[in-house]
Amino acid sequence: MATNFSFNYLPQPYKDPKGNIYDIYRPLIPARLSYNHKIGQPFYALVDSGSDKNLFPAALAIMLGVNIKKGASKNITGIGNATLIAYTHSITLYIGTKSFKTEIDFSYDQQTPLLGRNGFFSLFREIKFSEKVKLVEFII
Amino acid sequence: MTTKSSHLLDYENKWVALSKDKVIASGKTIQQVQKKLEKIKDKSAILLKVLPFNATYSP
Repeated sequence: MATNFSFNYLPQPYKDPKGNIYDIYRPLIPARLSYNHKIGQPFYALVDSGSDKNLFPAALAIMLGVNIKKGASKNITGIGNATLIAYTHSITLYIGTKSFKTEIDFSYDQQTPLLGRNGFFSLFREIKFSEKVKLVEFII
Repeated sequence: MTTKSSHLLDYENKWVALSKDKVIASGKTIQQVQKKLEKIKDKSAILLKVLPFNATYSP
């Protein structure tokens, strides 16, 4: 039987050019990391189908005792031709009550944790974004 | 104007710790927020980077 779980999008402030403030809803979901039997503080991560892989701020791993620069280093490029250096680590990712052993790239220059296709989307049979009801659903 | 995210308006570009939709700690870095959470012994608050309000986000 398929196991489903879902999260509502998280509203965040957005200010238009006239200074009016609205809610902008993003598919940010609660997650946490575990490494060497240590479980970290929960955080919101963006479900990002445009990211090839998971990319997290280095601080989320450092608080678990991960030696960031011991991971394999790689260059990551995004919009505007910006390139940053990241280090890959195998780590346990918790989403709700489910845990997944996966690879995450950690960078000192990354701010928002990004859940990408290889290493996150690849863990599920299907991920549904329902923009009208602002809900993201995961089907294992 | 009332928004559902109005509790974040004072924290643009900061890291915050949320508990039941309330900000219980904030700082410029994750480490700063984590230290505050250790003091109040809250292991369930959820960390969030509050993005700039005047820009949309395209990672």
